[in-house]
Amino acid sequence: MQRATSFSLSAGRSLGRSVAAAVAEHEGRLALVAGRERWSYRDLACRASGIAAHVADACTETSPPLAAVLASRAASDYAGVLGVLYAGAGYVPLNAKFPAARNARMLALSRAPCIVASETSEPSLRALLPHVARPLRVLLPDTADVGAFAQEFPAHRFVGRGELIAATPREPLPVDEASIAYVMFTSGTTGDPKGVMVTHANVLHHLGAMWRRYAIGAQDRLSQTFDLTFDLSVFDMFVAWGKGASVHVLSAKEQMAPSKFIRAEELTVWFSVPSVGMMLRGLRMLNPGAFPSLRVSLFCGERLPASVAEAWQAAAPASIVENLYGPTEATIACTHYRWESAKSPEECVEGVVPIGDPYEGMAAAVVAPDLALVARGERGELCVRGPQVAAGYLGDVEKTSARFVAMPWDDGPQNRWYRTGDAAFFDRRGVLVHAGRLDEQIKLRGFRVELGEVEHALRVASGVDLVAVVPWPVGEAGPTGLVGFVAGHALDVASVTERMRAQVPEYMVPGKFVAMERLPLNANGKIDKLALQQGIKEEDGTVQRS
Amino acid sequence: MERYNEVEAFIRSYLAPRFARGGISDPADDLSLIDSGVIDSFGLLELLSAAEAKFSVKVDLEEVDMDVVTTYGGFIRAIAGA
Repeated sequence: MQRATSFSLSAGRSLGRSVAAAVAEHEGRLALVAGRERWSYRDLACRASGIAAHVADACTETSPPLAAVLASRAASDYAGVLGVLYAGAGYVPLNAKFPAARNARMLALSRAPCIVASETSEPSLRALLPHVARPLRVLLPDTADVGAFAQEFPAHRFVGRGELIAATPREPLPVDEASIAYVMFTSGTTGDPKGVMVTHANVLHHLGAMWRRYAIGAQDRLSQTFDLTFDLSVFDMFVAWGKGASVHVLSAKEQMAPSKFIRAEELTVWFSVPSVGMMLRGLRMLNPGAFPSLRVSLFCGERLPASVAEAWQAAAPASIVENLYGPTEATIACTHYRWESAKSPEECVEGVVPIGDPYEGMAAAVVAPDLALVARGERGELCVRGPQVAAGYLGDVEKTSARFVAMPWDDGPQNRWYRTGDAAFFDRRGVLVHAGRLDEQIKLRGFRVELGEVEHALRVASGVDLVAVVPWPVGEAGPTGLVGFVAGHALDVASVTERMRAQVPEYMVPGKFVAMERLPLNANGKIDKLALQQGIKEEDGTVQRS
Repeated sequence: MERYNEVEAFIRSYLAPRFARGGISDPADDLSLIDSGVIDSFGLLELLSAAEAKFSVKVDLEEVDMDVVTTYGGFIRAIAGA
């Protein structure tokens, strides 16, 4: 079965131009709040314009033109993103919390000749640069004197604050809609992250749908709960900045008690993973009427428990509450389900909110392994089509052709579907319900994790070939941690942990490790992960197999 | 003080694997648990839930200074004094 909706796309625009139009109209309005910084549209655009000049100069000989932003939730990270786009290049977000080796790998895969780093990212930058073989143009918009960096890393060229703020906002360089707006790296099964190339046309289509559906205007104030390495952050920035609205970045501490932040900043739009709502509910912070200013509340990235949707609705009585679904390859989100207290509880399956219907212009289909459509109610692989389906994986034609496919039954002009790897079915009303994964990819509080990549890192870190990683514990919204199993009598947990932390982000490092003389095998001779998962029990903080 | 020590023993035991991962043998009172990478915001909320259940207390995060309660000593005092 499939469902599709029609759309129209305004041509000839880019993300940079969309923001520049808002800058011209709303120059003095608040655009960004991050830490102590509160920037107007003019402040943001002057910084972006200054950065853009250097990015454009550095990217003249690269194709596609890409520049990295080493992000740490600082205001200058956002100027960096916009500056790269103003330069007509695509941005590649790196994360100051990631290990240097992983950031270096993403930088190498993207071949970006230029990187922007805020002051708070400087320790991570110092760790990264020794791993970078090519000379880089390093833009430090918060740093007045770059002399120390230049002395420490003479192979690279550093540019400081004085050269990175334009006196007046400049126009972004023109780009084709089919140009890459960003490359978002996700977990890859082989141990290497894979870069999803998303175009301006992909994002602009999504933005148009969001602006219309949620009637976003200059008076809106949007949360920013996501790191820039999470593609849901794109929604917050450009949904706001295309309309003169403001983006309010929550620090890690502010995320622990967002009620205060929502009230202090008078947020009108909230967007986060459901885990935030779950934790707030668990700590009795989702009190009825707690968020009176919110008018739009969106959740995405993992399963949304009905109990959380209901509690959030009571906490934000003036807000709509929606569950969104979308892989990075389909640009941010491509389906939605609106919570309605009167009817939604009975539409939930096993207490989880459905993922609903495709956004305008997008189509969703559930297919069998041979790509034939399955009947309503039957489980299959969820595939999506439409103007948000990304260009493919950077430098990987093979993976691209495996996941972006034509359907034998689709005779339309846009027969290019992304195979999500998610299991789903249409319920009797035709509403899409997510039903887990068909492979070993999981979501850890919204972070997309290939267990194969974690196992690869565990093999490297432990020096043992026979390893397994299983998600555990599994809560209402899905797994919240990982357990690593290694064949053998004993394991130096501290050493393995340290080596894994050097390879993969913290959320991909198992919280617990178990050494087992023999890992159980199933009938096919493969490691029986289900048996491992079911055998885990917690006793005074230790994990044992029963 | 007895209550403080009791809470500290629980918190130290809970965070022991994380301190070990970060090479922290004797956490300072003002150690920022989040900024030092010992634990993330979700992890700290989980710890809070566990501590609340263990000591039968309730801490209202809306009423506390987050810069203080996210330190090692501040967190222990928030539980011990609740």
